[in-house]
Amino acid sequence: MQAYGESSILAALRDGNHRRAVELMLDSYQDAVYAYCVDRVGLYYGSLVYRRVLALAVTDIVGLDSAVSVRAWLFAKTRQLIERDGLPRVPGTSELELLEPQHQEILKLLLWHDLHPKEVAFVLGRSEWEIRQQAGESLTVLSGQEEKGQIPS
Amino acid sequence: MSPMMSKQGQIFETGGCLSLGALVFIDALPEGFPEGLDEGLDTDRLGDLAADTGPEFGSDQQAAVKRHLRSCLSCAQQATRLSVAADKLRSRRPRIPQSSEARAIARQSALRELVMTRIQRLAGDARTKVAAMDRVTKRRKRLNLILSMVIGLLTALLALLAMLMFD
Repeated sequence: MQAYGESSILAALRDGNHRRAVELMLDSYQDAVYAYCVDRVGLYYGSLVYRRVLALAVTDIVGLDSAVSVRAWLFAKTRQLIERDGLPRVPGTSELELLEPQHQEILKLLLWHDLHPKEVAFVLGRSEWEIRQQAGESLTVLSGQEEKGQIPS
Repeated sequence: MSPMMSKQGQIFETGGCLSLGALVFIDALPEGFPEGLDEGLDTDRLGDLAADTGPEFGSDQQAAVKRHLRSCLSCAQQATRLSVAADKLRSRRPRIPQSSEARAIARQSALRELVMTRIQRLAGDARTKVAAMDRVTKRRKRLNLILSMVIGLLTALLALLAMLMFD
């Protein structure tokens, strides 16, 4: 899967070539959206949400101008859909379970889905400062737990 | 300013160690900001931080925070600790692969959705045009009716006049 980058997608949109923009968006972020969906609500619901998010994204693609990035826009759409449908969060098995769900999500978006704090802030509707601060605090908690031996290193 | 920020600012202003998880965490942040959208972002992480702390810290404080982060051993250690924790967590990222078949199906279905949306939009446009044409046709029909009634009346009037004249 080749990542073409945001600028190509936005350029295609500016040119009015929606099909090209959609193709580039899918090429770049299809797998990332799938991973986020499955990570949030498990394989069954995740696959359903994934298809719905893609369908929603291709029809709304002209509205992504206000987003911080296409990737963040897709993640935000995914999150909105999951929250709106009230789909249950899938409990994980990692040390992240020691944290509050919303704190887990920040670290997952930053470290597992490789989003920039600006993008995480957009997805969660919070300020970048809050995201950085919360991530720092959560990591401090996790490293403290590891030092106490409660997490296998 | 939040109570925590206020406390941090106070510690900072008294010259003590910041020990700010969020501030030192900058070294553990992911790099992958999408290409093309980083214009306007300061690539210097401390600069990025300074921009971020804008609402809470003034420019003097931001500069002092930068200096502090460069020289404070305790903050450097904390940054290292958090970087290690972040790396460990990153290495435990679950693999969520999607089969190429599932990917192709989802892609096709999304592109089909795009075509359907376009068709619906075109159909909507066509409906609007037809409705507009209908409105014009109705107006024209009404006008024709009025005209024919006027002509009928005039004809009847003329006939009446003729009858009166010949009588």
